[in-house]
Amino acid sequence: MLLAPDAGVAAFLLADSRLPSGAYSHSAGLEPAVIAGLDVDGVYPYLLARLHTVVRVETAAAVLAHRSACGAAGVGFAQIEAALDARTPSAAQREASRRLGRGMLRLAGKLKPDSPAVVELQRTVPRPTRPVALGVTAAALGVGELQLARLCCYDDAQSVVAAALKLLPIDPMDATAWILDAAEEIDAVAVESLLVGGLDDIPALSAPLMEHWAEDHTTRTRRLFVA
Amino acid sequence: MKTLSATSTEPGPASTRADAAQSRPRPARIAVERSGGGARFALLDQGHYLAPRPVAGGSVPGALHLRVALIGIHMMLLGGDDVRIEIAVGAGITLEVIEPAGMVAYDAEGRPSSWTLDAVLGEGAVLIWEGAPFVAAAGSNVLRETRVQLGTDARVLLRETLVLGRSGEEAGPLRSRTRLTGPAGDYLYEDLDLHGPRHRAVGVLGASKVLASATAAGWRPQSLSPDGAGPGGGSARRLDLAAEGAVIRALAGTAHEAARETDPVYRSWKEQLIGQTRTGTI
Repeated sequence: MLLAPDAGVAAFLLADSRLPSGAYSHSAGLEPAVIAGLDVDGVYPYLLARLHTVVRVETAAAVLAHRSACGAAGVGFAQIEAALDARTPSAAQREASRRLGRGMLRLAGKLKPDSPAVVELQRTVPRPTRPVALGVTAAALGVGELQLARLCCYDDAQSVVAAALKLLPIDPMDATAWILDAAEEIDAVAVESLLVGGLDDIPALSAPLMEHWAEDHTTRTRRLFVA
Repeated sequence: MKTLSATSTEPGPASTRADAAQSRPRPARIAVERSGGGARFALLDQGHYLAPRPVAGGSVPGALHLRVALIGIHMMLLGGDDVRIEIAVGAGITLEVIEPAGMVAYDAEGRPSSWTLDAVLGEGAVLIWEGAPFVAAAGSNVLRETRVQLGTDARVLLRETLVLGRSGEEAGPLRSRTRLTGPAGDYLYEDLDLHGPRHRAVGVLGASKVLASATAAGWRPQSLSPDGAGPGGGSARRLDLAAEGAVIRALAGTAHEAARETDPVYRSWKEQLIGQTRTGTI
């Protein structure tokens, strides 16, 4: 898909942690994992494990939402949300995703208030999950679906790395290198996600321990990250 | 009260068609339906690997509640094995299926095998699946699929224990897919795939050897305690689904540990479900 003239910058924007969408308050589940005993050596494997499970689910859903926003999917946003809900048994994870999604949708509403897809999402799913909001926002900003898919993976990996720097004694240079180390896997997940043709093609890959950790985190009062 | 209209070792007409074409071993088939004031087995087909045997007791005379045990009649699970169980629960009937013995998927040097449960629940029907531990030994390569299609107001309760390897061995790569679908879409769709990089992955199962769970769909069980955790606490977590349903799940080092953490919740949920059925409340 051809990019709109401003899409290159838009893709940078969406990948930037300085974006006012609230992503800084999320650790992609790393904080509860650390509390459960994950140490420095576990961060990169954790990042990869997410790419092999939950990120695949989310990226495929984001691509489908992007297509839906472009009128090419034949499914509505609410159906994609329901499919994600069925694949996310943990209420804590659903809630964390929706908190991020709402921030992203608020931003999309400011940046592209006239985008029919943004208006439709606001109307049908006022509290969308992160992948659906990201897919719609990317589409509204003219970011193509492969770039969106990569973005969805990259954002998750960066959330893990950024949180790791606050939670564990890690050299920021080492942590940054992990993102590049994972680049091949990120690309593989992104390319594979483009094969999604409909709701049934959204993977349902499960990471039970991450779900348990996410649930444990909701009742904690002393924490750096919401999730 | 109950009549056995079709207890046979021959494949039924429907399975003859499909199985002859693919030469797959025949499935065990169970169908229950309303009969007068009670319930009866409309179908009890012995499969190649498993035989359904009605269990007396537990069923109140004249009640719409039947129980059946699935007995192993053939060596399994070996490479290339294809175990299938097909269940149909008629409107308003409660069927309880018990696996009296656990199953081991033996070393098959990675040759794939599969275990599939396909259940269709009519309006207001209830299925209680009381599974025994399923052990994925080293060298096994099993695809385990549990698919339940629920009609309007149908409810299901599934008990499942997955054991990753016998004592002192690594497990073979197991893939366990669970899809519970109602009239409005999926209640739960979960694909626990332990192949390749997901094997022993951080945050997937980590070092846990046993995953024990009870899953409710079509209804939301009440919590045993205000914080939602079961008695014993430990590694068991309750997950409340977005649609009507919940999962209690323990990740533990041993089967008895996992059972200790989930059994009381499973029993409580089962009582709640049967209680609802008896009093007709949903």
